[in-house]
Amino acid sequence: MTRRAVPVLLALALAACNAEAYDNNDAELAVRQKAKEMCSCLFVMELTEQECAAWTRVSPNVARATIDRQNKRVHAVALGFWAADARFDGRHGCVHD
Amino acid sequence: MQRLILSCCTVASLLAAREAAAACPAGVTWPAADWPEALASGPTVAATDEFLFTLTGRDEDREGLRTDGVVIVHRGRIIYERYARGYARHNRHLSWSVSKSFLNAMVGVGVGRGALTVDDSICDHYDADTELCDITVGDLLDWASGLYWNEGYEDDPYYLSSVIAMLYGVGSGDMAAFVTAQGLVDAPGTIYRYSSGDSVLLSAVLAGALGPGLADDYPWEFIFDPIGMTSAMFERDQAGTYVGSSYVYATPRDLARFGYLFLRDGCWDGEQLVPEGWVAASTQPNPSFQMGKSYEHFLRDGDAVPGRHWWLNLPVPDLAHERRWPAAPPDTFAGLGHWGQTIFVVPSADLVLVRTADDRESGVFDQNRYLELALALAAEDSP
Repeated sequence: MTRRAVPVLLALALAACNAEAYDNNDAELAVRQKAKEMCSCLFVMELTEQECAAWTRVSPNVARATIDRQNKRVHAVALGFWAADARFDGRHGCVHD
Repeated sequence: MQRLILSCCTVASLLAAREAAAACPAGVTWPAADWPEALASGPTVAATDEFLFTLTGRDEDREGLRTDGVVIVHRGRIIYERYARGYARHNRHLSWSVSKSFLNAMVGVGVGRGALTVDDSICDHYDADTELCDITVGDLLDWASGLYWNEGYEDDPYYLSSVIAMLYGVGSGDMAAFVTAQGLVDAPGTIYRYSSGDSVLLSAVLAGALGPGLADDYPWEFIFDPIGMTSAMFERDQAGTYVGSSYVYATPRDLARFGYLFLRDGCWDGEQLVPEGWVAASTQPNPSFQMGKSYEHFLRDGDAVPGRHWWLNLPVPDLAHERRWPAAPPDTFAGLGHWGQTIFVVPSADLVLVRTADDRESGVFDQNRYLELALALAAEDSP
């Protein structure tokens, strides 16, 4: 983990402590959004990886996607700790694993 | 008593709509495998191109108006079609909340088949806590369940947004269960509050009403296959519930088929696919909105009048509010989605407009000007 990631992690941890909030932090939301929407963009909308990177960019843009084209799956990670997966399921598009 | 009044209103509006509805129209053009074309070449074409496809901000920063595709259908023929920003005719596009209007149609077919009625309690078809059993199918169609909901998107803190928690967070495994767990904050049927949660719960209620034999196939059996939407995909959550709030994908040409179904009052190629009267009942101001207690939500969330999972071009006299799209006739109605997705239906002009887009900046797209140009294109279309 890089030093640059520390303030981001602190901010995310603070956000997660908000008593009125849903029990998610931004990094967790970011990886789940990245995995699912990157999967849908690539395998449902059939855009390029570059176009899908732009389509799925959010703030904070902490999630990185790994694409398995053969099995039509996307794995997303953030800050070396949070991770999520999504897979293509034919006419039902993409769904989280 | 309040529930009784709403129930009577619902029945009365459906009956009135049924009387007003005509049989399937004869002598109209239907798209077969593909749309007939009569592409416009008049003086409005260049102005339409310039308006829709001129980037008005820094594209790399996702600023300004960013149209991906437009299909305009007049009298059953495509008169205008353009794509941009890497999209082509074959690309499906996420419709976001236009999906809600698809769900309306699917519920309509379910009602027509006798699987459920708009006055059914959700508990007739979905395993909810008894305190939620006053919520009806009609309440969900009206976004008036009374369940707590914060429909915030990118401009709000993510951790407070119910819809983001539902799509990507703690609610994403079983979205309908997440929605019902929000708890009641108003009596069902009394307050209109735009809610993707109500729409997802409605998807689950519909699936329950249809039973396991149809729960997977109903989008295709009811709507996509009969109208030839071969590109359609509809995503589900991990529990298998269709995300009826957000996740229908299709090409603009296929989205236009859906608009055309509603333009033709639920008929397709001579067959009454969506029950007679359903389109008319869905394109009236919804009863909870008419009760007048929820104008704050109307003014905050946008200023098109809510029908039943459709948006209407009607004035609101109590607020001295004019029609949302003054350039368009008052019978215009629309499915509207995040980032500029739109299906407009203009029955009196025999017109359907589909726009897919990636407008990340809110308010950049002048829908009224778009309708004005489309109506001009239609007027130039030779008979």
